[in-house]
Amino acid sequence: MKRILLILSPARVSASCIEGALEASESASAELVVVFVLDTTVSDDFQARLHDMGFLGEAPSSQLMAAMREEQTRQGREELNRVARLAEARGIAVRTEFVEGELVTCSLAAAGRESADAIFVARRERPALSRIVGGSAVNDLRNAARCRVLIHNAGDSQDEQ
Amino acid sequence: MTRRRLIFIPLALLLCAAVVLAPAQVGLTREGQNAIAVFVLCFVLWVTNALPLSVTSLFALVLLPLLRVVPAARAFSLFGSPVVFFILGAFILAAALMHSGLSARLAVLFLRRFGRSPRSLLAGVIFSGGFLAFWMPEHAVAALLFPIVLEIARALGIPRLKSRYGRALFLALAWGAVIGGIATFLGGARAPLALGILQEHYGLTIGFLEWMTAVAPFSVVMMAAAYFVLDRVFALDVSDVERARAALDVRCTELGPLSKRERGVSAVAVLTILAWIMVATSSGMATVSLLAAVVLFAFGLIDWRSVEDYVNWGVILMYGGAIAIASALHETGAARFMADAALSRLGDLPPYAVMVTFAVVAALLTEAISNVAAVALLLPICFGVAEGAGLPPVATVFAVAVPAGLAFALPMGTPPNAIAYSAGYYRLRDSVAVGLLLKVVALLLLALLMRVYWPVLGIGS
Repeated sequence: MKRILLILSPARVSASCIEGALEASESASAELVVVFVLDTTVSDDFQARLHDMGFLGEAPSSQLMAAMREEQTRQGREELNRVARLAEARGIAVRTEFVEGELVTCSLAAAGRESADAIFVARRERPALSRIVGGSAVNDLRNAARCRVLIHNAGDSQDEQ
Repeated sequence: MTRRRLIFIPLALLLCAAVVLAPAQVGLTREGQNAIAVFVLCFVLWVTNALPLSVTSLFALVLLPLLRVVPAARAFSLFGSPVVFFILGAFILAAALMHSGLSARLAVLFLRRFGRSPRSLLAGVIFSGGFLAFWMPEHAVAALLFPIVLEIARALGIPRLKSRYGRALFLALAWGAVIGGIATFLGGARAPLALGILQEHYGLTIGFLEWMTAVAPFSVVMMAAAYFVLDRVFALDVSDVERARAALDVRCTELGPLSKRERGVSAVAVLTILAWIMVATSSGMATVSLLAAVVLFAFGLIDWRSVEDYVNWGVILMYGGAIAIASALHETGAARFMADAALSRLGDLPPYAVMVTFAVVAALLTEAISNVAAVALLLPICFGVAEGAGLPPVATVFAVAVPAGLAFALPMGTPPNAIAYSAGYYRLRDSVAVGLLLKVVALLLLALLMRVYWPVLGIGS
């Protein structure tokens, strides 16, 4: 049976990406594996920026990050349930998984484990210059993956590669 | 090493070397040229965040004596600025407010009082953040309010990205803290830094009360403006906030009765603020600030480990370095040279127009870079332009430091924006569109303030 992997993360929200994965699974009679990655590198980077730029102390910074992590976990699980319900309503076999770690590593591990035929993922919403300067996890995933990677922009516009 | 560092550190060094090796300029000493080279390096590193802001400041402190701009003893002595010690004490007081739980109690009580309808709850988030940021750093206020506003959003069952009220609520969290942060020297790092540079350049100072009288009314009007903008733009889609009130009631019960520590800290805080209001010099403010810190320790209201937990000492390095660069630019004549080269036409404008121009430039720059860096980069050049235009230095400080605190649109502008954005309840495009609208409102109000109110206080006249 074919398998389509849909990667979700807090900063990568795209209805068109989810719809694309659902349509692909439906048309290929594939199983949909939805993985929500709580990207720890993004939160580490965010915490470092609060330290560097905002001069936030260790205690308020840790409390803030704990609140943020709890919220993102809650939102992630909710999103997984929502996508699973959408898939089931269309008769698609679906499994969900919640993982914490670096986006590219977690996605490649899931793709290898599931022998995925395609990966659907959305880009974070940020300026193009920031992507050029800071690099792009989604580009790294596309370059390293052994299957097709279909990239959508967070914010719903479709950008198939 | 990150790609950002790989690109921007060599670029900064290259530009710095290019300025040092460039042919001598007429009207600029060798020391002045080298001071500009250090400024260019800091500009690139502060704008791109390739290094932490405080590390860039340290780098500048190393380069200033190495390039023979100022002697090492002079560069390091600028860490002894009274403003640095004022900030040190103020941060210890803020640490005590947070450690005792008093700041959290104030926030919850304030929100509970306001939270009777969706509109009043929204206003409550803006005004509670704003009021707290009068007395403690705005980023700490945003961090403090973040879990409370999240709890409100959860209690109301607000879906992520799909609720207009959710967008308004989290933008209110950021904007309240940002707007409140400009009202006193305690809400943000910009105003004390500007004060330190003013003192080093001209030996002038601005009193706590003088600043508050000039800026706090504008801050309150801006909070109201932020509320109206959010209310108008995001037609609120929540009709009942009873569940949010219930959540706040639970939080309030959990806080329990006012503890001895909270009473002690509130007494010290009130007395300190009164003393700050009564003294008019920055060295006087620093003395009060350090005395307050000593009292907090003496009465066991805080211990050093807690201070370590709540205070990020990088801020002291940032201040020392930024003041040293600004002083080097001023003392070598480099600031005036850059002002003449870049903004010479501004000198022909009337002082009011120059002030408005400073405000617009500072307000735009602060959206892209840290607002402390915006002040550190702009103020030395603006002093040079102001001298040509006959604008008093104190007015220049107000015209640059106040709008430099008003970052509304982008998460990278200021930590409160980044914190609110991270909750995932609004998109970047929401904050950009509405933030720029509020920015225009802020600049119009500020222009009016400069024209009508500040001259009454003797600022800019």
